[in-house]
Amino acid sequence: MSAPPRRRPIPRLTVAAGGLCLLALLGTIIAIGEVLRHPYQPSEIPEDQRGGGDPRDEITCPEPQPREGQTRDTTGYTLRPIQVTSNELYDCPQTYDGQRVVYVGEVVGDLLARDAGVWTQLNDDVYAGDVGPLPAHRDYRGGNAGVGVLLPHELADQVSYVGGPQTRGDLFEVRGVFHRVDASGEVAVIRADTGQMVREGGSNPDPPLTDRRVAALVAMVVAIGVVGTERWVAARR
Amino acid sequence: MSGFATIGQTLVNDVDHLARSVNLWRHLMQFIGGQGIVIVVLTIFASAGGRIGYLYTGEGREEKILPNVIRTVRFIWRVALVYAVIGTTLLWLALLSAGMGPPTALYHGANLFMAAFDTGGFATMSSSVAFYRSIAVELVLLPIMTAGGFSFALHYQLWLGRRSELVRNIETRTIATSTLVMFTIMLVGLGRTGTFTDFFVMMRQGFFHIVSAHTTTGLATVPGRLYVTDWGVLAPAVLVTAMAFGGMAGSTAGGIKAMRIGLILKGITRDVRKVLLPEDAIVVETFHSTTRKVLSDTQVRAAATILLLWLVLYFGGGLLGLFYGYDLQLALFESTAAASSGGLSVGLVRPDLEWPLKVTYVAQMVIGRLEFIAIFALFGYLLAIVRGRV
Repeated sequence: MSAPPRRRPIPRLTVAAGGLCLLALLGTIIAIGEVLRHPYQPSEIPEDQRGGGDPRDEITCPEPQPREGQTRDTTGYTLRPIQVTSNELYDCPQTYDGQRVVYVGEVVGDLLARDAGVWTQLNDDVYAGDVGPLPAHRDYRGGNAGVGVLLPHELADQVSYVGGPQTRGDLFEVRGVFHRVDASGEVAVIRADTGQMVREGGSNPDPPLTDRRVAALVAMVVAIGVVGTERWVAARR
Repeated sequence: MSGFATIGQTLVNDVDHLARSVNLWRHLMQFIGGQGIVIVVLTIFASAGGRIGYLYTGEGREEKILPNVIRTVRFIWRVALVYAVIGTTLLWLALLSAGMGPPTALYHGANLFMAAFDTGGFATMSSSVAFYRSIAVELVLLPIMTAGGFSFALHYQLWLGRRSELVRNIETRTIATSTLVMFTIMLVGLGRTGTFTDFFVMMRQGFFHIVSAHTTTGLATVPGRLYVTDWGVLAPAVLVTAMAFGGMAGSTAGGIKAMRIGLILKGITRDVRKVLLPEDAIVVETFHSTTRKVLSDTQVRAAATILLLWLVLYFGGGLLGLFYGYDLQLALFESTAAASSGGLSVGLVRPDLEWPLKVTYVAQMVIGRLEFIAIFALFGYLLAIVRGRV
């Protein structure tokens, strides 16, 4: 039995040409992606509004950090609720545990109705503020930041827009107690008892771009063509 | 890369307003990549034969699921699709009970299934599983993540009705033991720091995170920042260890893999027995993986070599994180999560992360996902092409 013939080495020129073709293909895909984007401009809102805190920042909590079951030093505490952000709550969960807080955020995701109330998420990141949600502009300012909130049913009934794709959610100010660990077993949530709408949300009016639909259609036809050709070639073998 | 490699870390700026089509695509990448990577690795093994096969022994990939790659691929996708139908339906029901509308629940359920079964860890919402505030959703996710951490070889044995394989297999034994040990340590850690005073809540949160980390899924029920500010030191260390260990070889999970850990532990046991027994005693150690096998020095050495490479990968990324001023805990957590495809995050990976760290984490994802031997083989092949020797 003779040994199989040894394959000839691939010429370097062919390898280089193949590499260049791959790079060109990648560049074309990126270029098409850029062309198909909405012609939004960055807003003029200052860059210092970030989506989340830098993990390198030193955390300084305003009060000692008592654990559950320990006596909390209430000297200097007032009955007025404390205005907090999600970053502050996560940086110092022991400090705010059991405290009445005021929290402002955009309703996002969904409203999950239960017997005890309605669970939702209120985001207080940069997209909930003046900049607005991302589909409507080209300001990329970090990830989301928010807190889970249990709204009373009557307060949840006031929500007209829930933030999501193409929708900016209502901005709500809620007052309630922050629980590092809630009685229901949920972690880092606010049980709100009162609240009010600060700003009504709305839908993003920008319609989908026509050339995107054309591109999607062309891509689909090409994909079907490639698969069909591959099947046809395989069947002929 | 994070999607196809089923890592679960994301640089998306505003996930909560992301278009449904884009979000679905993120999860589909995990579904394609999860099964795809197993097929790629099995194909490399099948085509490379003995030389790479020896090196893959350390990864427990010497066993074939079915006689040829095409039938194996068909089996893998059949398993994935059967799980997809069952898992998505159960998640849909759980999400309905959580208060979601039927269409939204189906969308979230399908995405959650792909993230859990393919041990990916992306989530439809920025707050991951915590968004749903539902113990029912968590209970459904636990077996799906576990199934994702199982090797397809084990799935095949179960498919054939050989349920005893679950008890006898070296990997299931190793994972069961390490899960139990790490869960206990985590409870001790969380108990010491007083993070949870209710034992049931501590069990719920602790077990979900152990399974999520051990299967390298990366779904979370608490904000990642709390691992640093509220979970003490021991519990996050356990999470890092669980992610580093990973799931089974030949599964969608990443990490060192239970097979290697099991083989190394068996090797240590054998050596200790050799020391304790008379000099002329013949010590034979065996392990069960589909069939009963005798442990060889070659297998232990290969497993130890790959283990060493994994540790270098974890600490290498951690060192760069330290260079950029992050705490050791954060840097090691995130590096391990990227390399092992663990996907849990303490907030270090974010859109405005320094670009060298982004590049490093992406490289870790590729190396960790394809495993070292495939990367070595790829570089060797490219080098040979450049030198005109292929």
